[in-house]
Amino acid sequence: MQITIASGKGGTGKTTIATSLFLSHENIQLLDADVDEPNCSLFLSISVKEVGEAQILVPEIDYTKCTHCGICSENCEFHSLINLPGQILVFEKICHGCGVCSYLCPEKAISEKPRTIGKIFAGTDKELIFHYGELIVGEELSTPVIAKLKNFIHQEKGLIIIDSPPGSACSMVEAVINSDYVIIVAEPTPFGLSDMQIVVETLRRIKMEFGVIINKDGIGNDELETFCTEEEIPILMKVPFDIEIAQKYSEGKTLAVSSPYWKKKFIELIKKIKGEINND
Amino acid sequence: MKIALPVATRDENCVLDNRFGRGSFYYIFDTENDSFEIVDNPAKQARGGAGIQAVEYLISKGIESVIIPEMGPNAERVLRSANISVFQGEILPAKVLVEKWKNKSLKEI
Repeated sequence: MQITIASGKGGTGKTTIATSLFLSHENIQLLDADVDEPNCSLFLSISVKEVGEAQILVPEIDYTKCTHCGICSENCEFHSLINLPGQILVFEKICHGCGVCSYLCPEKAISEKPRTIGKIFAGTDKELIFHYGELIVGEELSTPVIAKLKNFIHQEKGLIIIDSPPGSACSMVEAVINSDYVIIVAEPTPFGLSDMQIVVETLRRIKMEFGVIINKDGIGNDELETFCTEEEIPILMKVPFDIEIAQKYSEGKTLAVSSPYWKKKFIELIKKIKGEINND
Repeated sequence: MKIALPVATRDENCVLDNRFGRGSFYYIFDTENDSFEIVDNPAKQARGGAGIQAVEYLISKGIESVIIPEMGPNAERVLRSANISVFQGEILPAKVLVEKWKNKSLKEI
């Protein structure tokens, strides 16, 4: 079973939930797909090593063939090719690697060369497998790094947890796709609700099953819970806004490690999700 | 010869905009007939690479120089590659800046 942890707003507790699920089970894989700032490793004592690179294909111009017709730059959706007299400027960092330029070039003057934009790291501890992707500093495209990270999924593991980037853009969709279930971690504030609603809309459009964990319960108001009730979205768990939880977190101890009570809750959470999936 | 500068409003008293690639309009002055026009910046709402698209547009308008408050690395690369002269402008009315440029009192950067 593959479960992705998503959120609209950043800082709602995705990593807390993802690492807690990981550390309360024995035969499980965790993938930290928040490649702009992967931080699950802060809560794990698993040493990792580099196991792969994420690359995209960017254009390279052969000036012996280029006639400066401008077809490549006119068709580049991202304006990463500029046709100037005497040269085609290529902005590799803006290029999404779609390949339309080399496909359309009538002179076959554009070839594609790989460019590394991210790295994949991995480590194990008994039956626990941990992978994370990391976008190279200065790079902008996280989606191909997440796609590469997901090539390292160990299907034989009973349970696979993916920590998604926040928001509801391409990178989140890439993390979520092919999951059996999505947990949205949300905080009960107007901002938390507004961002969660966008995620709900996105997940419905891509036909994903999902439920909500309310984190920092006790702050804000009850609008988020009312929304979930009205929309028939299951509330899977509530984590209180509690100074002890925050203190343990600041010491690198995630929720499931902070007390046996919470560890048990996370084992029950998986059972609850299996029930949700089987209900449909 | 034509010189362009980003401006915040579409009127003759317009003032230099402190953004180049995402400025609302461009004030284009033509030395041939001492006249100006104000055009929309088609790159204002670009998802990314606004500076690049803005320069691409200005090249298509035949611009040879620009007066700008500051520029990002991508815009700079296109401006330099296209041999467009770049002058440093303060936040002043476009008319004043063009006069200063004519008097050669703007610094080329």
